Amino acid sequence: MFPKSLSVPVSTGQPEWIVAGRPRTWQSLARLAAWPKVVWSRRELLATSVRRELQARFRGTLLGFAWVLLQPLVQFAIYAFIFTELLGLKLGTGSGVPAGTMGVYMFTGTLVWSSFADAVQRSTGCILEHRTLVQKVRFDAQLLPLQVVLSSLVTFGAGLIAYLTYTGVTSAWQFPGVSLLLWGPLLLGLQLLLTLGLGLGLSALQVLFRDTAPIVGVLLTIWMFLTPVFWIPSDALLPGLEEWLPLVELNPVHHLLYAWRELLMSGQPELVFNGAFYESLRVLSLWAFGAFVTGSLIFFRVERHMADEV
Amino acid sequence: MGAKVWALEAQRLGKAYRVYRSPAARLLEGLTFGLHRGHESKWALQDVNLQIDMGMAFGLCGANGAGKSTLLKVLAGTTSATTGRYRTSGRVASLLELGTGFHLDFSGRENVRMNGILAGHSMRQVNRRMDSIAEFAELGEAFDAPVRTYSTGMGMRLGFAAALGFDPEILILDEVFAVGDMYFQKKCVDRLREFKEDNRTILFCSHSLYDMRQLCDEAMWLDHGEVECVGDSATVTNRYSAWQGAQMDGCAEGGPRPIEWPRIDSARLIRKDRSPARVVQTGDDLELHLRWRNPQGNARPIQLGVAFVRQDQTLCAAAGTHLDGRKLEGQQGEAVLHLPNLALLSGRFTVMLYLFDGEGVFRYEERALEEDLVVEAGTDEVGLIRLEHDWELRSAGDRQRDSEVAA
Repeated sequence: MFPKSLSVPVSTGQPEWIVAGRPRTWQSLARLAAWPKVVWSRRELLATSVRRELQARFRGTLLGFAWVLLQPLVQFAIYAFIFTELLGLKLGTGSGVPAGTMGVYMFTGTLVWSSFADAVQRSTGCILEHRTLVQKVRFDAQLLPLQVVLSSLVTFGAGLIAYLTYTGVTSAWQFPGVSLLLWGPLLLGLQLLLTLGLGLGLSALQVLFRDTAPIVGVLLTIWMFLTPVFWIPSDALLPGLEEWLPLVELNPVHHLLYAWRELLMSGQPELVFNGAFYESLRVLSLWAFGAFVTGSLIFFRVERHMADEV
Repeated sequence: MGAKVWALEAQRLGKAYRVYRSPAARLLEGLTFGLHRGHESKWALQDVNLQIDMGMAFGLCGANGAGKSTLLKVLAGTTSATTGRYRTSGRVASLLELGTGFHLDFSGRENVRMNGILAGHSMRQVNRRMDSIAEFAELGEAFDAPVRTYSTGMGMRLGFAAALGFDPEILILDEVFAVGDMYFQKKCVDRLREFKEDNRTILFCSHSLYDMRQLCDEAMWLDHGEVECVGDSATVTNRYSAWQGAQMDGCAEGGPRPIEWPRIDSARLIRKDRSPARVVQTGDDLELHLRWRNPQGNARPIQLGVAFVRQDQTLCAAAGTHLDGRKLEGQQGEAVLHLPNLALLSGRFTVMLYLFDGEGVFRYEERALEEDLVVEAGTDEVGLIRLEHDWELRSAGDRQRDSEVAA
């Protein structure tokens, strides 16, 4: 039988009324400010559900969690082989330019982009995916997109470790400097805010308009090619596109990529990096906070209809 | 002192679901920020006022679609109200449907853990309660097997154990007595009674008026989202059941294809001298007089069942015309069940009446007599019934004499 609890706590005062209707602006702002509190108080839930999500992804596989690390390692090896050994692509001429540049450039690009795109795409559908929870259990639904974003950051982290291992063990590229330790966490935080903001807003929209997810899928594909994942935004390399290239500065993911690459590739070669690291951080921060605030407000506004619509 | 603190309190609570004509209408409404109205509001609940005291069991009854589940969902906090306000005093646990939020690929244990953490408990609290939850669910080895492999009954055990296991102060249950074997149902009922004695509050809805009468102190009858009546559970359930009967007449008159179901018009339990039998003695002679009606009786005979159920839900005795090879023929009639020399010992018994179809399978009507039957044994005998018995006693000397006689 259940252990009898010692006693039912006797309430000393009246509990708060829960009032129907659209949340007032100040209520939404208060909830925005309460984000850190919610995350802290539900940290165990977040940890458990992130672990569960990863578990579910690799359940039944022989290697299990090892895949998290193995996937990027293999991917990096393939990139290095194709772009450096097979195609012999080099970025820039000069004697200081290492051989493996293109492979490293592509790998860091896809690592950051796929983490971002994966988080956005999956968080768009996360409320619908967990409809049974949303309908039947009372909990903070805002944690669902966060959980998705966090789990994609875990795979991203595994990719980083794979990269560090590879550059540490082989001579493919120089091992990143101490600046990664310094700026890495901040960059990770901005990446989290940006993807979470998008995830919150889009997951709320997806509940109302089911066409959101396929549209997001299409837009992400277009976005990927508009972002310098596989190409270098350099006038010298892309003659004829000079008048369009400045537009890339409007793309937050470009700044995210640029900052990560500067840290991971130690600012080499000069063809790729033009010393705009701090500028990129500044622009990225604006986008990240803007997306986070907007996404949260949209989410809080739609939230009360979610259980009825999923 | 401030105002009284209720376990659950609601004022003018209402809930409207939005029904959109099409996804395009929804998009248009979204894009115009609501200026272009693309939806109609369907009110599932309107103007519900509620005050539930701590330690009380409160039942909701009403036809399908009357708003019972909606009210439970709103109070459990899983869906939002459209009008009004409510407040709850204490931790709320809800079991709104079987297998609430269970992940099929994970084991019962992992699911219970997740449920606990979702409800806001720490991992330590969850682990501390895990053993008692496993014990209550009585799933044995299956507790660590994926929920996918569970039967409905096992899923119910797990859900019930998980909902009760984390020490809630208010429990909200939606129609959960319907599944599970008798043994586990009994266990749940016992547990709910303990829960109530512990000054905790239960709110549930059920189609079983019997459960409601037995378990609830107060009840509310909802009709088309509005409160039809609220009060002590016996009064409310009886009024609801009377309304159900009338409803069927209404169908017969107005419906395109009349469903003329049989029904019980009146029933009373009396003594031989025609005085009403409320408090009786073991050994009394009783008669149950019952008038029934069956509009299609010439084509479809019906069967009558009577059951005596003690307060702890033990079925003590039952009789049925089909069990005795009889049936009720014709369009109406009176049935008298003679109960000579009542064998029941002291206790309080609910007398349940059933009208079955000709095969004794489908229940057209199920109702309890307005008043419970109270039996006073008048002797010191214990047990449920008095067996027909007689003693024959001999001492050892007697036996010796017997054998001498035989010789």
